[in-house]
Amino acid sequence: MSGFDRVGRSGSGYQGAGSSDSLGTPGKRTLTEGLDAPARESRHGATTEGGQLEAMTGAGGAVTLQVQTTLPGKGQGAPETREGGASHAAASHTAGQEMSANSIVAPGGAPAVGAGANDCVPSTASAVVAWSVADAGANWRADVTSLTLAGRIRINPWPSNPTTMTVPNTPNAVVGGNINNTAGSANHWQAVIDDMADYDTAGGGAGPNWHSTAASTAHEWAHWNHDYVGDAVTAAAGGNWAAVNARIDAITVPKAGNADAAAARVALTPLVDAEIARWRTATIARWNALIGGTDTPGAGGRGYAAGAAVLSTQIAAVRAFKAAQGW
Amino acid sequence: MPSHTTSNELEQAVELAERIVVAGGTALDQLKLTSAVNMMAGSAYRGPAYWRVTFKRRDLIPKDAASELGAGGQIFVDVDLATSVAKISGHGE
Repeated sequence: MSGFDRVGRSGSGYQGAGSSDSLGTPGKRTLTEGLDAPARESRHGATTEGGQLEAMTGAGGAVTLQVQTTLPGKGQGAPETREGGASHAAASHTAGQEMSANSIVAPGGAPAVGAGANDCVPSTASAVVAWSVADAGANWRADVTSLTLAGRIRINPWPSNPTTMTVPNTPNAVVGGNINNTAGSANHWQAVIDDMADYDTAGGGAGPNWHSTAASTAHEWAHWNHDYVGDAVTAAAGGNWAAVNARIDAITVPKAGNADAAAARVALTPLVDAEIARWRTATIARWNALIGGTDTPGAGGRGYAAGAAVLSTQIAAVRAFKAAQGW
Repeated sequence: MPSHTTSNELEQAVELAERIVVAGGTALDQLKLTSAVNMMAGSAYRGPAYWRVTFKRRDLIPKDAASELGAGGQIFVDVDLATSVAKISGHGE
């Protein structure tokens, strides 16, 4: 057993292909310091997702994330994953190239989302490739109709006590908030900045005192959207889904030995299974290389870059508050 | 045996790191030691007495290469053997 379930239906139905969209290999980022920035601050790009993130929750509170997935059939557009309303839609990765009379389906599906930890684990073995049997003149051929991905994301709420001088905490840089100018205090504005600024540097990571649920959310969804769907599943360096889809769609058996679509499906199944197994192996290998090689602070991973982008806006807010207070 | 052998230093660093992890509420049997780096050089220089110890949750580590490595679940601990002080510097996610 390959671990993939199949949803079979007979029929033809050639429809249009999508466009290609895969991400490149992440590179090592260089941290640069501005003249007004403390030595330990990282200066990540401004492409923050912070504006899309949900409001902070209270300490220990659960984050409820509703996930709704629309899985497209051929020619019905890219998959969409919506989390909690408007935030963190799964990126559209319409892996595709126009094949002769066939079309490439975009990966769909979404991870189960929960709390209790901060992690992301795809389950390529649980992905479902659906395919039908199509009439191809003197032959029957396989015709992929959908790829539904599966996995798990967990996001643990970081404590947020906006008016209390405690740690761990989420910064609330306002008068009456949780930032002060008391030397030696864990709530001192410089300590707050330093703790968030080391997030994507060696030995950094979340906290120990200052972080945010929004940063963790951006981090875990970057793993799913970009490391997994956008790279491991679809990129040439990984599973190269578009090519696999095309190869499956090119598999045929003669009508001469297979009287109807049901018989053809039996004959096609082991050939399709072999392609799916190769895709799974390459996808997992790429994911493991990405996570094993880059998912530590300062190693150039996409998750830490996404989280750091969120934290950079919070650092800017602390800095602005410090300046406004004349500290 | 002299106390400054590599094995003794590493054992002391890991032991101090484990203590602070347990004090932070994490059971040691849930974690696996994935690296211990002496910070004697490089951009993260702290001195030859400092070790950076990293643990990762065992449930995120697959038994073989046919399954996915889970992203996240690390605990980063900095240990100063000169003062016998360990500090959790952050968590992976």
